[in-house]
Amino acid sequence: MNINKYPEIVPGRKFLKEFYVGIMLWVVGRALQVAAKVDKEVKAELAKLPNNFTLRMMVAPEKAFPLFFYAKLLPSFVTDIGLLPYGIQMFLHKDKEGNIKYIGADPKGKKADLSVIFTSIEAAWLVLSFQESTATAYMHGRFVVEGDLPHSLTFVRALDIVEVFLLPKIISGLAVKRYPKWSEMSLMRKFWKRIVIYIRAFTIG
Amino acid sequence: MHIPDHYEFLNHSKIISGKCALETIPAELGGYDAQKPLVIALKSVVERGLKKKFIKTFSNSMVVLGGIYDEVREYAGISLAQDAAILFKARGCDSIIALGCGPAVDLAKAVNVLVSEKIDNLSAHYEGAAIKGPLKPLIVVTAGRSNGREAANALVVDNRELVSDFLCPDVFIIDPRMTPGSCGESVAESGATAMAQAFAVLTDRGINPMTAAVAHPAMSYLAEYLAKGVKRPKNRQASVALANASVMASAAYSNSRPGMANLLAGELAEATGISAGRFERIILPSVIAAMLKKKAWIEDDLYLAAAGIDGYAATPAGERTQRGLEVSLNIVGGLKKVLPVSLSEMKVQKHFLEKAAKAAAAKSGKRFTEAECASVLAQAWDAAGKVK
Repeated sequence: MNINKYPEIVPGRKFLKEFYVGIMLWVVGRALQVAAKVDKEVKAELAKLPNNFTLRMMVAPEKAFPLFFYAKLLPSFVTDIGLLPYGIQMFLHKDKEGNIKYIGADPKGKKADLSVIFTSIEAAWLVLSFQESTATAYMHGRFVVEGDLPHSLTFVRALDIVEVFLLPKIISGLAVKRYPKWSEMSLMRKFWKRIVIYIRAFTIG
Repeated sequence: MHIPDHYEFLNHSKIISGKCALETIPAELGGYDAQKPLVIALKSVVERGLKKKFIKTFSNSMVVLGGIYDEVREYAGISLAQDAAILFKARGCDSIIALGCGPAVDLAKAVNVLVSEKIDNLSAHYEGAAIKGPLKPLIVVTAGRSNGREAANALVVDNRELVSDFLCPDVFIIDPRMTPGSCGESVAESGATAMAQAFAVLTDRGINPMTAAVAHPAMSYLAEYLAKGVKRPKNRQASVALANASVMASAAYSNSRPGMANLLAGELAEATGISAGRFERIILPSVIAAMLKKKAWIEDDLYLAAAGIDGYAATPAGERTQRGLEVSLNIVGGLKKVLPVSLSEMKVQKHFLEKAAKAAAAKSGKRFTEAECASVLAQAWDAAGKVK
């Protein structure tokens, strides 16, 4: 039997989806950092997390998603500021004083208390391109949670509010479990916070 | 509901069904500490261009495919299994994926026995030697024509059957990208097999709560989607429902006693080399007609599963058995446009019928007599026009 007739196959990569997921995780991380400063509801939600708490969002398997090439050229104190997307991970840290900070995508030297792990790049794509809401995606097994489940729910609630701020209703309606009524979130608050979060997320943080 | 004095039920397989189910394979393999599977694929599945889609789903996964052995056509033989086992060893694989149903799954199970037990052939196991322990992880991606043995604890290679609880696949992947059938005929054959199995489970006097629970949705899916799936083989919703029905019926049937239609179809398939699904389509209406004539007692579950809760609730309790049989007859009758309806139409030699009746009666454990089997076959011989 000629085994060379059946060659070994090393599957390729989905670069476009990788890049999209990387960007989205960066935007979400930066937006959460800003929203925790400018919005009372997000701040109150994230206050439920213990201090000195690190949250990680990533896509499995970790080895398949190294840092972007330019992230490897920079020292870690620069990448940890998170001014650019550096990889397919997101670290969010709540420090001793209770401040929420996006601390980049490099797992080196960071110990996560809560990990939200997408089972594949396709699963991350489905969630982050808003084809499936967070709740539906969890039901479909698109991601697993390592850590305290109530903390992950706190994170999801904060994330839902941020998504409502950042995205138009037609898109965020797909991403969140229930879109808030006008009485729960006024148009003024929504649009003002949208502007502030976008500006600060891409500038001073 | 009837409570059996004793029953056993084994269903080892995990079923992952739905959108992006294929993308879960690397994670499932990871759970078994495996990352280099050998893929055993049906030639017909590869020819339909599903290989490319399948490989693409492993992107960014760190899983390396040890090779795609795509020599499986309609028949699983030991020489093919030996070739695939050589490939498995040469590439240092640690798991097996069967891409396709029927012979691909039989062959994958055979290869799994060869490589896990470190043997060259299955003769020792055919003679009664037990499989010593758990085999390598086996994942089945359903596609193509089913033979009803996929979820079972058995394999058939060179027309010889080997049974062991270790032969159950570990994971079933039912993905809408893979399930659409190539033609209505192939869907109808798979559907007829699943129908015969689900019917056998739900009409068996030894039915237990677990087999009933698994066969019930299989029958419901068949009642709702079989006609649609045969008419539109590419319909994703129908194909996923029918693939689920096949797996469920197969799992329930492997824990149940074989029905008359299954036994007779199996014997005729072995004698003629034609797929059992075609014979099941022909024989099942005759079996149902015989049951209707005999006013045989069966559980209400059949009618509940086939007609749904509304039809069930609207029917007086005393009529449910008969209505269940009538609805089943209608479901099988829906396949008459794509599959032959009589044995004479298939040009089966008559001397096979006697042998089949005798062998089926012997295998039934005294549940059916040879005369009953022969009578059903005689009716199936010229059933054309009699089936609804």
